[in-house]
Amino acid sequence: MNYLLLTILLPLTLGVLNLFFKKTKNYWISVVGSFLCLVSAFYLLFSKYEIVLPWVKQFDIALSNDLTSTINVILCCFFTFIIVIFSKELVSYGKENTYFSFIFLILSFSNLLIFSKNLLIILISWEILGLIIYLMIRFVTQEDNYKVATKSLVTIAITDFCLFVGIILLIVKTGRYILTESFNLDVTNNSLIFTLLIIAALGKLGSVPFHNWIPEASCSLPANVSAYVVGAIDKIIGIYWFVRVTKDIFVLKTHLFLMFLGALTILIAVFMALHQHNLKKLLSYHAISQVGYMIVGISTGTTIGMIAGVFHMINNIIYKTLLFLSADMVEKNAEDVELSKPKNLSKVLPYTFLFTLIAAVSIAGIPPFNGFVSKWMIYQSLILSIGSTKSVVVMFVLISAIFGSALTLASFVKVLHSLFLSGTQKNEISPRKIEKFNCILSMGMLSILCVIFGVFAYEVPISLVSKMVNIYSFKLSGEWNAKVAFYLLITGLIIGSLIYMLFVDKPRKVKVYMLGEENKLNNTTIPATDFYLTIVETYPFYILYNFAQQRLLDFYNWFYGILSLLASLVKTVIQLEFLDVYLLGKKLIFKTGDFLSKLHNGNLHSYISWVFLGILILIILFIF
Amino acid sequence: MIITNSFIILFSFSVLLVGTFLARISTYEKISRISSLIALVLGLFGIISLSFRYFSNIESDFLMLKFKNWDIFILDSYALIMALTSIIIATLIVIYSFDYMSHYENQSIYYFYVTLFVTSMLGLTFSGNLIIMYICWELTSICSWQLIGFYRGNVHLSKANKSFLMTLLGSALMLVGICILYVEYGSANIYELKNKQISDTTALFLLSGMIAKSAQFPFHVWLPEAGVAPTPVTALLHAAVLVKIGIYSFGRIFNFTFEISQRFQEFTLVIFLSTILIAGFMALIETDIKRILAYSTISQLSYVFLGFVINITDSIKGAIFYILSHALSKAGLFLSAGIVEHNVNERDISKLGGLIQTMPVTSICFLICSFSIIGFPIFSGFWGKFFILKGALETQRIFVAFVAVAGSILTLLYLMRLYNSVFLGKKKFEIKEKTLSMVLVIVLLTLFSVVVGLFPEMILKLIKI
Repeated sequence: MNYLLLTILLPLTLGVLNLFFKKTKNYWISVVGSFLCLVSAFYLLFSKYEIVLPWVKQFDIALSNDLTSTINVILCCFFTFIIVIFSKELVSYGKENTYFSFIFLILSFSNLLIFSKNLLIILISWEILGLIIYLMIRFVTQEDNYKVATKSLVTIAITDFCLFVGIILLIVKTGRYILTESFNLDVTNNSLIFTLLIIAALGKLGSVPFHNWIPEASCSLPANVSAYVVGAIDKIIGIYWFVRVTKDIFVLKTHLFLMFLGALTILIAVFMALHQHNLKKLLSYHAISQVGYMIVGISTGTTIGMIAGVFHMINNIIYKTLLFLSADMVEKNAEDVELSKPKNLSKVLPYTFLFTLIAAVSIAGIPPFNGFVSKWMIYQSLILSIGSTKSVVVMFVLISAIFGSALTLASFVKVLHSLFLSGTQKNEISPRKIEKFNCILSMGMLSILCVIFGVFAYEVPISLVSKMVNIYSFKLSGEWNAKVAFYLLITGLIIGSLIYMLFVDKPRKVKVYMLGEENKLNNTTIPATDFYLTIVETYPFYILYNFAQQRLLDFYNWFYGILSLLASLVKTVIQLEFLDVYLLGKKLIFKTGDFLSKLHNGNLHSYISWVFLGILILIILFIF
Repeated sequence: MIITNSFIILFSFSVLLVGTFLARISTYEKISRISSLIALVLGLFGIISLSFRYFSNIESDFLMLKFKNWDIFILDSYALIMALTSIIIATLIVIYSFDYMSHYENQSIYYFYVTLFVTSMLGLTFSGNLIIMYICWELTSICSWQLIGFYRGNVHLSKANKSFLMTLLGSALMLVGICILYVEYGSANIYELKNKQISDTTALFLLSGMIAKSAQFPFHVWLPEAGVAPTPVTALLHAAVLVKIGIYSFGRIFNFTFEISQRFQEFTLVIFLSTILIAGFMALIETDIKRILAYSTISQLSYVFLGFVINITDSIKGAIFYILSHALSKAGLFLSAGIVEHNVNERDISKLGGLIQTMPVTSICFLICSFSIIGFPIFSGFWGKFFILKGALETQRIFVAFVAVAGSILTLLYLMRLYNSVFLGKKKFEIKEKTLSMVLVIVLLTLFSVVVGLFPEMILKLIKI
């Protein structure tokens, strides 16, 4: 059996068939199907396939697997499996068929893209993925969601067109369309191709300035869909292509502009996240912010940076998916994801609270969780770059990255406080009813990965990632012992708990007597959304938020506005009389007619004058 | 009797002419319809059998077909693909017209002109002589004039006159060009003129006719105005056939016959790039469905011209491929718009909305055809644009490629705006897709668009340059 083809064709078949299954069967068939995809993807670790399927002359579907592609496909299959397990009770407005269908179609074309060695097939799968995401946003949610869907389509399509031109230029430049051996192109001499190919990756990753559709789409999408599309697949594909471009097609040394763009992405997105009141929007801004770290890592051009960037991508999709799934749990229970309304869900959703806590500390880069390790490596790569480039930009990027991490922590303190630790729980639903086994299982697996990829980072994941990017020897300058830190942390927690239980007096709760007036004492707590109002109101951040509020940071709005302006201008110009050939001709004919009519005035003297004038012209013609 | 290629072409023409005649003289409208359809179907069979013979190399003498020692017909893959495209779309449009035109008077006139139009179109496609080409050219102009003004209202007649005069102006200039060529080389036979030099002035005269017919800047003004015609006519003229005449002649004369100068090439590039952008911008702010689609046609035709102007194998291949794919998808778009207009009696997109709920099939077909025109993969439009862009970049014309891509982005914006306004959002009408034949035709066109996109090789291998 050809397992490579199986990882593409099985999800494709499931994607089509899911449209016809009865709703009750969708879930279980999808669980089994996604599991089989995952198993076949794992099997590819132990075997190598090369297939050429004839299609269009010169552009046959050439597929093969290596460690890089196989691990990326495993990631895609694994996250599909997790999302499918979680999706037993969907918040997708009763559209299970389309939901599962799109999930599998996305998986199929992602796998095709990753395994494809033909640049044109990469381009085609890339664009089809963009289309499916548009259709998913459009059809899995409410009917009036088309504006966001169109925004996503336009943004993605603009970057896709860059890939389109970039790939054709690459084919024309190198005469090759198969991506088996490295092209080893120089960035400086081929900057246009490099820029176009990188724009495509940035668009897929949702980096600044192509990020604006993500928060809006996340708000209207069910959180599990955001988890899959925004949290996982887009990041895997984006980084896959980013690495391909910077490693297999070009020889990338430190790229200051990309690093700067990464830092900008970190800062803008994290500042925007800090200000958000909607959980899903906040998470999507953090998804964007984390992309900045990946870009920074890879753009350093160092071996550690490359490994760190890819490792951070893996870590990010783990904790970001977990966070989105937690948001889905919150939405199911509280029916909204507004952080301005404290929910106190820690007792109702204890597992969710635990998992969210783990994911939050991971994304904030707290040791010994996975986020810390990859961020730590990124900092190291930046420090190395400072040494080699002596550039102020790199220093700025390093400060931004560390600062961004701190702000991320601050942002999640707000989330945890608002969702789980403050306010009153309204719903009297038993925890078991909400936290179903399938949800706990999928979220639990991700939480365990957050811990394992942090504590045992140097044992398995990092060495695997280094092989993924074909780096076999590298040295970490500031290695630290994660396991010792982990044991110390656990010990500290146990000791702390013991001290709390044995020596700290619990507060005595008494009923407050208010002389018959309304008790307002419980309302004195500050809502979590007000935690960072100081930052929002402080100059120069005030300007940033003000710009954002007026949608001045929205690339799409700018783009559409400028085009509309140009269109009006073109219309005005094109309607000018002298550019309308028809009007011009009409005018000319009528004017000539008028002129000739005036000449034929019925006066005999005039006619005789014309006769003599005609004779004169004839004489002149005969003479000369 | 030995069946030759000339015989098959003559058979197709004869059948079509008989169909045209019957459609006009019949007092029963039903007979007009049926005779028109039968003539088109038989003509289609003729062209298909001709294509089969050509592509299977049954008869080797294909280049110039003689009839009583006159070089009349030229037969190559270019002519065959064009003829097939025209007659397939025309047949589908006639089927669509059965329902659309059922409640109008003077249907026999309608079917007469449609069939005559297709006959002239085939005559133009296969003509191996510039004079015959010109005669067929003018015949198509007369047919389109009558069809645009079919409703006979003052507005309709004035717009029809405008279209006729504009194309006539172009063809008059073209005639001057043909005369110069005849005087210079003593022949109007395309085969004899092959690989001859053509002066820029003569080329400019010929070009005027072509861009007027294909509604390129600055002769574009007539096409959006021609939207007053019945929708099947608009689809036939705007999408599939009439506007392709200019393109076809451009390819035939400037790519397959004469050698044009670099200066002329650059000049035409400027015209077509400007047209892509101007028409794209105009479509972005229009609010009438048909006018948006008409501007879209103007813009998309420039891509085909671009392919021919770049003049390398890939770009010509892309141009020919895009003639077919654009015809399929744009006919699908126009006819979908026709279903909307027919049922709702409204063309202003600001007054439409939510039709996906009552017209789901039309909505899906419209979306797929739009994707094809935009150039998304797996839809037919992708391949045409891909090869044209590849050609542009192979000849180091990066600026051309970027303008073409900008045009595609504009296409995406205006078609999505159109789709969103008409089919999505708040439901404003409760009317359903009533007419089966109309819906069937757009489904078929959409399916063709997808199949050609999925299996482009079956068309690409037919294009022999």
